[in-house]
Amino acid sequence: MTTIDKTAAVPAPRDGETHEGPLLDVRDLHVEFRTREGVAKAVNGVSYSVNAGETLAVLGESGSGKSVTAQAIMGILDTPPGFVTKGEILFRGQDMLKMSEDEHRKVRGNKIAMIFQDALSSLNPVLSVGYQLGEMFRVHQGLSKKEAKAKAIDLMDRVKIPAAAARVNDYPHQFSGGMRQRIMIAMALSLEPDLIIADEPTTALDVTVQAQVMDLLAELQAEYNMGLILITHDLGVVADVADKIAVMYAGRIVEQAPVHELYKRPAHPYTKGLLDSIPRLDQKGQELYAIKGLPPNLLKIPSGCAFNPRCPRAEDICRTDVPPLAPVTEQDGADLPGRGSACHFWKETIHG
Amino acid sequence: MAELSKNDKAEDVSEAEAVAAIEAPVERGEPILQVRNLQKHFPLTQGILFKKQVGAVKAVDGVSFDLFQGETLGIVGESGCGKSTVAKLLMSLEKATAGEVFYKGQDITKLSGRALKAVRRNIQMVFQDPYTSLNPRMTVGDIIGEPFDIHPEVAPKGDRRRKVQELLDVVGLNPEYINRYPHQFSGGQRQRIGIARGLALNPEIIICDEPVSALDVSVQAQVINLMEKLQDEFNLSYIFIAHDLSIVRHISDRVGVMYLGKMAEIGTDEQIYDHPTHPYTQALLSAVPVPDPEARAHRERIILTGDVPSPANPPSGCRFRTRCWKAQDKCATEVPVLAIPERFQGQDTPAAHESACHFAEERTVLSV
Repeated sequence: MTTIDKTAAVPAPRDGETHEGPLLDVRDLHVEFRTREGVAKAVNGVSYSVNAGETLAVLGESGSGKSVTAQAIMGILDTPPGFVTKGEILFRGQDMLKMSEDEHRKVRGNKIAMIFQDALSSLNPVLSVGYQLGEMFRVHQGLSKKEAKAKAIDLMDRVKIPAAAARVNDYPHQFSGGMRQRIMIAMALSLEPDLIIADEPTTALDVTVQAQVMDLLAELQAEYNMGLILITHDLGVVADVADKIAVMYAGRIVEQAPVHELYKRPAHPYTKGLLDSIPRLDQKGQELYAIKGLPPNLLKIPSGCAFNPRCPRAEDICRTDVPPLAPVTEQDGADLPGRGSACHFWKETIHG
Repeated sequence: MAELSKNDKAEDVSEAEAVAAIEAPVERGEPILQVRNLQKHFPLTQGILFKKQVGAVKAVDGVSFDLFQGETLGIVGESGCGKSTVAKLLMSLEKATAGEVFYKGQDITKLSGRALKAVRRNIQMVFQDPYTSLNPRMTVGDIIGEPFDIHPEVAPKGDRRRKVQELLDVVGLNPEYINRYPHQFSGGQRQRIGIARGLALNPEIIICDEPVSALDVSVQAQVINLMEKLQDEFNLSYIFIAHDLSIVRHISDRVGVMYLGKMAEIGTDEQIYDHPTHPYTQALLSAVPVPDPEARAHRERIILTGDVPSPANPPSGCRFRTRCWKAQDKCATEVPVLAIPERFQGQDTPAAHESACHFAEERTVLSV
């Protein structure tokens, strides 16, 4: 296994391709699900980018479109009912939505890999983990069964599964939850991709195991200088590992910011509400702040800003005009790089 | 009636007396539930026709604690540590292998008939998953009203509909939704239905097994607020089982930390979170991601190695020793008892609380 130079700030692409700009650039992505009840607009104009070695956290509740965006990037959207209706997904400058199925398959797994939430249901219960890990090498690199198994043992060692050589023929149910998640990580890492999308990688795990898995992921990310998209709803995990954050609500990015900025002074009422609803020490015995109401039904997204029925700041303009993701600045107009908020009243929210 | 001693067993007390004892009120701050050395071993068998017991999964192996009237006792621990089995034992949904659970002085593990029925009315449960704990073919009215079929004395037949509507109102749902089905509600609303069902029989204790972990972040706070409001309104005692340590701290008066079927440490929320003395508690607290990126740089995390050992074959001595950085020979041979550690005895420090470790000492961990 070859390891790339850790010290290089931006590593040269391994296949000799050169490309300026971000590793992955999602532009104005729209995804809808055509169901019998109507058209559910799951993603409505999402744009974000990730650089090599960077961690982007996509934060949102269930139904906010964070996983659907990831599926669209991977090209594993169930079609029908899901359709990408608009937008571009540029990987090293190439639009993946325009690629043929063959080209796409070469990118998927090889260049972009995904870690799923529930390791038990994502692994095939009737095949040994060694076989499943080796499949990547057999399919993408055409290795023999024997070579693939040796590689699989290598990988299991890499993600610190004890006695890898002895356990390579074990089946998924013989591993604990944390170990299964390591196998998922190993599988995603097998072809040393440039980008990993981790969809709630630790949600099903206990905190002590979660800490182990997140540490492992961070270590491997640094070693390979990979880009990482971390999809989660856990504000604690995000604070621990992310470089920048995109907060999603009803299929749109409502706020994006570098991690420290977002927690210090959120510029969108939804983000502010989420942060305020975390139980804090000095509020013991008091009522928790709660965002009122429920996340919207994607079949009937409220007009204007989708958050307006739940927003404490909502005014008439919020019910009619969709707020664009506007750049956020200091009070004196100085730039705040990387910050944006889709709120008509972001100034009041951040400086108010 | 709340007075009890271990020899004061319910055996020779007649059923009527037991029921009377169960119906008697308990003063605020008095123990309402006393759990003593509770054990639940699930047998492991081999063979099809002639089952031979080859071992046992020691899911709960000697747990003792008190629940006082009007308080919230949080129970935290990793999956598989036996916290949900404790909940089932308290509900007498499972039969304990050994040990006692005294509810107002009556050992519920030995009760049957009318007395057990009376206990069950007073101890209710709210389940984790609001999607599977409600019958999809029953209307909300039927779900919340079903407890009245078993305990008709609480609400006479003609009065039930009104009573169910009242309950819906109490948990913050529109009383007109009484004829709707569970699928017409969101997760948070469903959990409210589950809470309303738990409240239907005016219980004194509600056992909440991970009541908010299946809910969205923005909805969790709503449900927690509702539960706190109901506790004040109906004078309830809660046992709150969860793995989210920050929520447990917010809602609990006292917290017990479980590991592999045993209680590792128990104390007030301040004692556990700010002055933990058991290494497992320290590791658990340090592993919780803190929602503050500033803390990233200067926090010390204790990363445990390995997984929780199998409860079918737990380590000898202290069960945590296989993952503990303090473990010595003594830990492999002697089971540490849950008591105030010797070095802190008689001292007026928050570290003086019950901790089952031979080498209990304070260590500051940045907690939630």
